[in-house]
Amino acid sequence: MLFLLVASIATLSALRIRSESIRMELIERFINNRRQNRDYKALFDRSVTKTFTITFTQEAFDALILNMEEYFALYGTYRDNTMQPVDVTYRDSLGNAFTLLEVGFRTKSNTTRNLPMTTNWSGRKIWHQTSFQLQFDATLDYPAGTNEYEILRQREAFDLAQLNFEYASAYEGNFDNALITEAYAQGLLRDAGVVAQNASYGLVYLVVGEVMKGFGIYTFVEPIDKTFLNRHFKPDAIAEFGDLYKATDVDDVKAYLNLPIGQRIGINQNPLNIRYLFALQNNTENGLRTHHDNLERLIETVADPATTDRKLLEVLDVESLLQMLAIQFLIGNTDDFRFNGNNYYIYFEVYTDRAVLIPFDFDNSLGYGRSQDGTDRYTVDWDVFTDRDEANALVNRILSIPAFAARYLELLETYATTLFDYAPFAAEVQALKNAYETILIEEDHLGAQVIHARNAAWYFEAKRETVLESIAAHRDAD
Amino acid sequence: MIRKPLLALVFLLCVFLASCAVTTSQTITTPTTTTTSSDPTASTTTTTTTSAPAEASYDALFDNTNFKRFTIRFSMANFNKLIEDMENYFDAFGSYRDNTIQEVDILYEDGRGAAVELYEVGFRTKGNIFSRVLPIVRNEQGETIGYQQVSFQLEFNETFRHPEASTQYKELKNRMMFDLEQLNFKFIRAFDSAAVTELVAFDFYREIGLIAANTSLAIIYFDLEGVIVPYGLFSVIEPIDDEFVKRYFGKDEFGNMGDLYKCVWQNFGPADLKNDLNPDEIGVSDYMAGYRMTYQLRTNKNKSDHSVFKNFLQKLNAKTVPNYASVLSQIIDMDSWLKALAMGFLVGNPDDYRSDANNYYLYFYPLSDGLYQAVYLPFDNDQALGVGWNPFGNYGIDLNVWNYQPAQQWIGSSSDLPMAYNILAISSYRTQYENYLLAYSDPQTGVFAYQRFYEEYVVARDLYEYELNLMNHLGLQNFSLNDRSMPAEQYFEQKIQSVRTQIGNARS
Repeated sequence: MLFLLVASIATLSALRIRSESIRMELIERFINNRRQNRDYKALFDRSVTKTFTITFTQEAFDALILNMEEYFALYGTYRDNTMQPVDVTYRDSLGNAFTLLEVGFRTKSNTTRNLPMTTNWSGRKIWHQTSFQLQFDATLDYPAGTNEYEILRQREAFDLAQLNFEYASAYEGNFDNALITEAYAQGLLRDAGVVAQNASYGLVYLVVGEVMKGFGIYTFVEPIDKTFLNRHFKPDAIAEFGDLYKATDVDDVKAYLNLPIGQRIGINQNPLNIRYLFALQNNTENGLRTHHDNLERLIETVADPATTDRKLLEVLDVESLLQMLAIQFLIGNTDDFRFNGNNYYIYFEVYTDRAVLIPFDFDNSLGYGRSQDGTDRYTVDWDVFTDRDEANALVNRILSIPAFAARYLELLETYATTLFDYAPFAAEVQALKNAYETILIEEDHLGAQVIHARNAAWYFEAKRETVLESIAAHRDAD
Repeated sequence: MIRKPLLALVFLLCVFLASCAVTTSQTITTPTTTTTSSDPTASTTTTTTTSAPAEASYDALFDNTNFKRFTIRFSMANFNKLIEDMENYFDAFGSYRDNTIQEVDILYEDGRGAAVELYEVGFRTKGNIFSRVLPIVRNEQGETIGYQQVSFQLEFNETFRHPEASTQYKELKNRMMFDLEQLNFKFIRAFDSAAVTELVAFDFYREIGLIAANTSLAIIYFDLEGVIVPYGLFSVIEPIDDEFVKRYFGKDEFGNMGDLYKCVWQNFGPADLKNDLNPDEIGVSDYMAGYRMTYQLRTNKNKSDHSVFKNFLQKLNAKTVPNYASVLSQIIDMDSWLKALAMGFLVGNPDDYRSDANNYYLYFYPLSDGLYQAVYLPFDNDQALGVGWNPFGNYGIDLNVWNYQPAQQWIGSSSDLPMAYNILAISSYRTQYENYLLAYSDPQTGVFAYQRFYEEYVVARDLYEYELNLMNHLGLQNFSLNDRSMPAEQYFEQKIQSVRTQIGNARS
């Protein structure tokens, strides 16, 4: 009898231990123990070739499409952010290869967000490139408090909680055959000293059930989130950061830092398709916050004719802004803060409340894509001080101050003569071509398959020349 | 009746044979594809060994030495819908000019090795009251007993019923092929056994520096769910639309372009450019209303108030003002217009502005000071160079260089065509026009030369005649320089002689 009791206890213990062991194995599969900083560097090293393979179950893929279609039926846009679980395998030419299980996947962006698959008139399944985001820290459907939830909530990959994937969309029927435009432009910004995202590129495959589809070359872009802030700014004593706003045009209303403020600032409510020109990204007080003192003060200070130069320097990182204006003028993206009140973040430093502008979205740059220059010369002929600045109160104000205008010209000249050069761009396009073009063609990837530097030689040379001429003309006039 | 799979097999075999028969440099091959996934991460120094696939490029499309073939795939439902819509339109308005668009898939192949499929392309028939017919032939019982050629248009950027902002809408709206949003296909008329008449006529305009549609040839198949219809040889013609304006004229700093009008003889009469405009003659045509405007706005449809055009008419017709010649030079791109008048006279299209107040576009090019200059853009040259409609007799060879009566009495007299005859009444312009005529018809250096026609003819014949015969295509199968309304060489010789003699006599 005693033997039976002991045996039973031993068996139960063994079962419990085995059960715990299995459970730990189940949980451990979510853990990413890799060296994050090393992976971050590899990911954003543009000389390293890399692929992401993203595997959906058929059920998850169908749910992704269904959710997007339902959102479209309600709001006329696909901006549904419902997360679906995917497995992600990363491989690079440094020998790194690993798989992360149950990563969150959602589509992203406004103009480049697509259904990844549609069915056409003849019943044919059509794949479509779409921009998307992987959320390594997505907790999916695991209840709060479970081990899975806690592990996933803190999971990172590449030293990032999330990673954005953007494809080079066609403009007026033509692909950007250079394919590096976004990543290269972001690199120029960082080289110029601007706080900007890290970006790189590589191949993406989607696997749905038994089907694998080459989704083409994507740009991998570091999100502007708490991880990003931690990389570039100091937090306060309790590791909190200042307010971060994402500024984008909404329904063709530009997100200039102009009066009136009205109802332009708020917290987006994605499920209801409610979006603000200035959408608070953090410190939201569980979505209930209604005061936006720093941003309102910034707008009012800029608008106030009595504001002194010194006051401007208090509320705004002017040097950073001038750097951004100068390098962006060379990059020639007109869908930006300066010319379109779009595609930037405003961060208020935690101790000083001083604003720093952080630009994003550079796929239409460097002589490619949609431009406000209707002549199809991609701003090459624009004066460095253009009348178009009159619509932008902040730029108009800053560049009307002689000292700041002189510094802007100085930065422009420095960047034009040191950073802004076609040769490295061409070399990088050639490297991309060598690494990927054969595969793109043979595997019939989506997007551009033939890689070349398109009109970039002309753009770089003509832009630099006209900018230097414009600088000289203004200095002569002074 | 041949069973469909067998027919398809025979078709594919024949097409293969036909492809092999094309000269060696023109052999069409289908690119092989592989599903094997390669690993780009294996090495950072991977070298490219696969050559890029031939592209369906604009240049390849309009390279006349490049063999081209389009296969247009309909579902039977869509093909029947196309016919039903055309018949309903006929019942309502007495013509088949229904522009309802049907979905097709297309396969483009060319002699450079391109083989490009494009799905969900828009298809509609094209042509005027007389030339637009059903693509099928019915017997008296209404049964389909065959097919017939009709001109058509492919619309690569058609969005069908997809809602705006949907993935399909965004992708289709933004889509181009050959760097074009649309492409026109015009069947070769039975009377044009040389096949290249329209192509060469357009090329003449382009070679003297005028802006005119790019043109080439292609062989067409319809694929009706496996039933292959060898649909014949067609001219492929660049459409004159906003893309055309952008390509040739550009846009201003703010992305604006001028107003473009298609000017054709329609319900309200000839497009004579007299200053007696009926309000219903000008605007954006709505084909479902059953009639077309004479002056059809093709750009700035939502913002133009037609004032530029009306102002142009007013000034063109105010010939009593003291400085009229100067006014004309301000409102018309005079040099290009005088060139067009000269080349038009040589080409001898009786259905153009000067002869018939028909078939041209006017683009109002914005000048820097807020003014506009009209640029004349010819189109529809299939009846020219000695073939087709012959209202003047002898294909217009003997027409007076300076003045002749219009092709149709409803127009009135030559003085009812102000853009031609108000200009030619001014001696300096008339002299310039004569000089262009002499230059273009110069036996040694002139652009207007039979040799050019002959060379294009030989190229086209060698590329297409074999397959047209092999597959028993509709329309033209056997090429001939002489078995046309008038032998081509005769037209060129006599036209050149007539023009040079008239001017020579006048000047001596």
